[in-house]
Amino acid sequence: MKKALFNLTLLCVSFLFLAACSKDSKPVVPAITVSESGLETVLLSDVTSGSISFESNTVWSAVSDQTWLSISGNPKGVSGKVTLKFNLEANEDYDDRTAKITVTAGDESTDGTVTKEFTIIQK
Amino acid sequence: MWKNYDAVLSFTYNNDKVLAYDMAMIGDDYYIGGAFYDNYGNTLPAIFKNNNLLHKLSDKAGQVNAVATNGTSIYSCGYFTDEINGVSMASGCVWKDGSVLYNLSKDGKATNPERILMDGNDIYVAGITTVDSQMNATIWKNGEVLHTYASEGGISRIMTMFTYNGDIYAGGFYRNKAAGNVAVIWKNDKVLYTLSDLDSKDKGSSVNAMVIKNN
Repeated sequence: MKKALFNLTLLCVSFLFLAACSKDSKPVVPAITVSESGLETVLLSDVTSGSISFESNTVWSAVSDQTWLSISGNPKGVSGKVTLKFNLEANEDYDDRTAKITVTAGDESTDGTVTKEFTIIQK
Repeated sequence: MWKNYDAVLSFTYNNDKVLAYDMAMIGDDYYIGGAFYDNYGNTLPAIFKNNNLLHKLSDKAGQVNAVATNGTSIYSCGYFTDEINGVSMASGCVWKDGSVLYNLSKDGKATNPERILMDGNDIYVAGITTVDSQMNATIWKNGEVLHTYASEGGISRIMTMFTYNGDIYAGGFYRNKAAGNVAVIWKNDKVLYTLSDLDSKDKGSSVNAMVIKNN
């Protein structure tokens, strides 16, 4: 009787352990949180640095589509709240110009990837 | 800082350079408005007295743009980066000595005051209000919006201002889609002079300084 009870207990523990393992191994679904109006930043022509803010639930990376705007420091990170700094050249023209910083959350270990585009307008 | 061509003041803070944007004097003391770098590389708005930190005005990134004095207190304007309605934006401030006197972003708009002027007991600051990608030159009097100069080209900016006989004069530019930046002097809420040739292809002009002469 004791042996049967022991086996039953062992079975239950094993089941719980497997269930827990199964839950842990499920890949993260990437998400980037940012307010809608936080997707656009407007800067004066003589401003040469700035930042964008977002929150990612997994690893992320960022890239600029313009040579006059570069991400300062490491353009990659892990989950959490992020203030991503960038440097830009002064705008010598008298027309607005626009750069986009694309932030991608997720990699091969996650359940796909997700991107957000941040628009930087320099007057 | 230089006096008569000689460097008289040079200093660092937190083992990094100090950004100095404006200064005022009380007696023999220099008050410098600007920013210093914290350990994370952020610039924090600050006032230095001579070569020492006098006031750290925020723990958040920003800078002091301009400084004025009435002989006893130091007034300064600038911004720190704050989260307003869930959005990180420049939150404009006027500080008296080490404390916030006026918050210029209380209506939720991004603001960046760049000039400060004292006229008796009144404090005027000029800067920019950003709404929907439009940067509009704005003058505040004692913390309240006095004048806003909108521009069809999406930006106007005040580079200098003074008061005279109860009027306020501001010089700077507004952007015209064809002519680029157009130099202009505003008197109160109206354009007093447009100094650029709007038909010129030589884009880009601005009023950066003004003097008034009594005849």
